[in-house]
Amino acid sequence: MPFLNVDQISEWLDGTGITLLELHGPMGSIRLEDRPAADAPKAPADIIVTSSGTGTFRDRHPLSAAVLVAPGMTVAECQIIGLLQIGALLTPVLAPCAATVAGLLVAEGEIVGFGTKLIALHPLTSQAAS
Amino acid sequence: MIEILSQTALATVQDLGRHGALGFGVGTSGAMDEMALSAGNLLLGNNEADAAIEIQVFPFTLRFRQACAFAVTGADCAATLDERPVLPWWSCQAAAGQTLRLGVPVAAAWKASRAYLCVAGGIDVPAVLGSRSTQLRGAFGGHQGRALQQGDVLAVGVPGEGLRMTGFGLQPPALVDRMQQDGVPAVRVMPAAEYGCYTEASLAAFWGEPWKITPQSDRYGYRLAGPALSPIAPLELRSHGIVPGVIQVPPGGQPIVQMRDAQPSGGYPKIGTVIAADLWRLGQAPIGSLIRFMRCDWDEALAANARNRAYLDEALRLIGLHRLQSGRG
Repeated sequence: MPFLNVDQISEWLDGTGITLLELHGPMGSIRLEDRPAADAPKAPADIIVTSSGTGTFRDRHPLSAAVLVAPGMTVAECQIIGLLQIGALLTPVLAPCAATVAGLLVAEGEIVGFGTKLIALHPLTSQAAS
Repeated sequence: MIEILSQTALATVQDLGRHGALGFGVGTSGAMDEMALSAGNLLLGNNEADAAIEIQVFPFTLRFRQACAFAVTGADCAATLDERPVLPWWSCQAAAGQTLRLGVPVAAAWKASRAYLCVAGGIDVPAVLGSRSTQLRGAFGGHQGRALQQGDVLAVGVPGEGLRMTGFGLQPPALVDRMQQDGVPAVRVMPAAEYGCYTEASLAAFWGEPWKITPQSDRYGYRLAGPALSPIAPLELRSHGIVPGVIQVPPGGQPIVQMRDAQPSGGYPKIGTVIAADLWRLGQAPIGSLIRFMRCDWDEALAANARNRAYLDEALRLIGLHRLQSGRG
């Protein structure tokens, strides 16, 4: 069956930071993904760490004045490089591989959704970049 | 098993306290910051009331003799596990043989003085009169009824069902519900039996002035320094039952707040009582810091209790959802 209002939903999504919307229902599923334009600048060596869920991005622990990572910093695989806060719960944003931090793509306290690009990393080995 | 490596002082095994024994002359004991203890237990899938180690002198180091999930709550002590940083209020997995070190509390966003090492399954010491808390005055409960010493080895209980996942944390309640007045940390106080026996100037000072926590402050009680509180006429009382939170005024006019290791009776007049819901805030206030008293009534005190409860209930709910979600992924 056809999905209603897909164009309208796409338009709304354009105005937000949401890059992926998935709906599952008894009648079927819909997946709307914001694909970067073909001519967007590519940085193939970079890994973009995205959000695993909805919440508030934290670049530091709430008790701490020091940020978890800063551009140029080297991080180990599975190191906590950011936090996602939902209510009082804090979940980790983890480095997928050993890397140097290229930059933070969201600000401390920003509300992010599933798939929001959070942190750019330069992998330390070419193997990890693939 | 965990082994205490550092020369240590005043670290004790504590749970939520030994309630219902005041009638036998046995004080409450229990964690000075029970919110931190409860939250640490929730992070590990423990019962909220499981026993942990309360640490108030730093640095403090221990070795996990077995693989063990743990969380350090309370003051942010810039903890490290084999030199690698560990976030505060965060559930972590230690491998057998790893060393945990707690440094001097970092007072960036919250000035706190006590840390809690919670372990999955809780610290396994025998319960005495229904509690695993150390009763220092009576020398029973906790680990051999005394503060921990270098070389002590403590057993760890069997982890609960919800455990097998670590690597997430909680925002401390002190940051969720900040309690301050004129930039000074505050606790809510209800007037107590002899409140009306003090001069108006004394009562104005009691509410209006900040009080300094003197070095004569510990788990038994906090001696505060500030303007002298004077009764309208000399007061003489027979000894009567008191509970943690009671603010006594000895003849010198400098108040004492009874804390978790308070004796169960006393004879000084009582000007007020720090409400139970805020005792953990005072329990974390460092020596030398200032504290203010904010007047509240019975209903507000109950509401404050409910707010603490709501924080823990919500934390438990969110942790449950997170475990469920991650378990699927």
